[in-house]
Amino acid sequence: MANEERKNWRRRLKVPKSALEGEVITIKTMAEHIMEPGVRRDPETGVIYPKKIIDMVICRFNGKQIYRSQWYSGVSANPFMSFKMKAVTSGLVEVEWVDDYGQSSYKKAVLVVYDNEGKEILPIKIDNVKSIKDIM
Amino acid sequence: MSGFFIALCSKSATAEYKAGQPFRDRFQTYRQTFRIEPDPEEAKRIVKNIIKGREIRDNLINLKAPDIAENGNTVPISFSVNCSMENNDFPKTIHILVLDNPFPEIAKFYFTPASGEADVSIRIRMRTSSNIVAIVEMADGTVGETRSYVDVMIGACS
Repeated sequence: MANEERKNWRRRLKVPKSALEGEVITIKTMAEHIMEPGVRRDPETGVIYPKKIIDMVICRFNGKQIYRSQWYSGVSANPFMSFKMKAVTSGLVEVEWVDDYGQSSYKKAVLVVYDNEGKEILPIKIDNVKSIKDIM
Repeated sequence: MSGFFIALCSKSATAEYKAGQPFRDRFQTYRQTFRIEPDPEEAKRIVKNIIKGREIRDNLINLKAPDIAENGNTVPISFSVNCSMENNDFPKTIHILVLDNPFPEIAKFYFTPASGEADVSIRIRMRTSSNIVAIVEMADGTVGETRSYVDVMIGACS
């Protein structure tokens, strides 16, 4: 039983390591989860297995939400989803899976975006910094 | 303790089930929903509530779904929207519905201009062979809709 519950927490996130500026990249996500629809019943006792699904998947880039999806019981078990993102600056991609019971789990990946000349585009410009207000 | 509660719930559930009076809950607020038959009028009402009498634009959304699905538990679908993801020309929400499922709503997707292209692929459950409907609500208020029919060999329990 404990092993089965452990399985529900395995998550996968695939983000390309580097991209060019303005390129549209695909992000692939996969969660290992039973996605119990709350309809199946035990054949012997007739007890219905309680509903337990992943409710919401949120994608954030550098802490800002860029994409969100809300799921109901019609999504298949071990849900796979792929979506797109525009590469503007390099930064941190976070994907968060929120459960029906409010439990959440997340995975993160680093995306590095290069210029046409081969320079990395940083999320904050640190060329002419004189005070901390320039960064903020 | 939790086992005790489950036993209590199951008692009442089996009693209702034997009496032949299933509790119909299409909004899925409860943890235990009964296996009910699909209601096409309910699905039509849900679609109507999303569109709200707005005009449907042509060629706004493309839905890719297989013609024949051998297993209803995993039907891979994908959709994309014809738009330049710039100011006010991006999809705000996209709804995916399967009309002959007992719970027709399957997923909603919320986009921002930062998500460079509204192109998503996902796997869904289908109980019987039916229409898949994808509805887009753009940020400027216009609506698009497509349908595609999928034949399902073995249905899922959803």
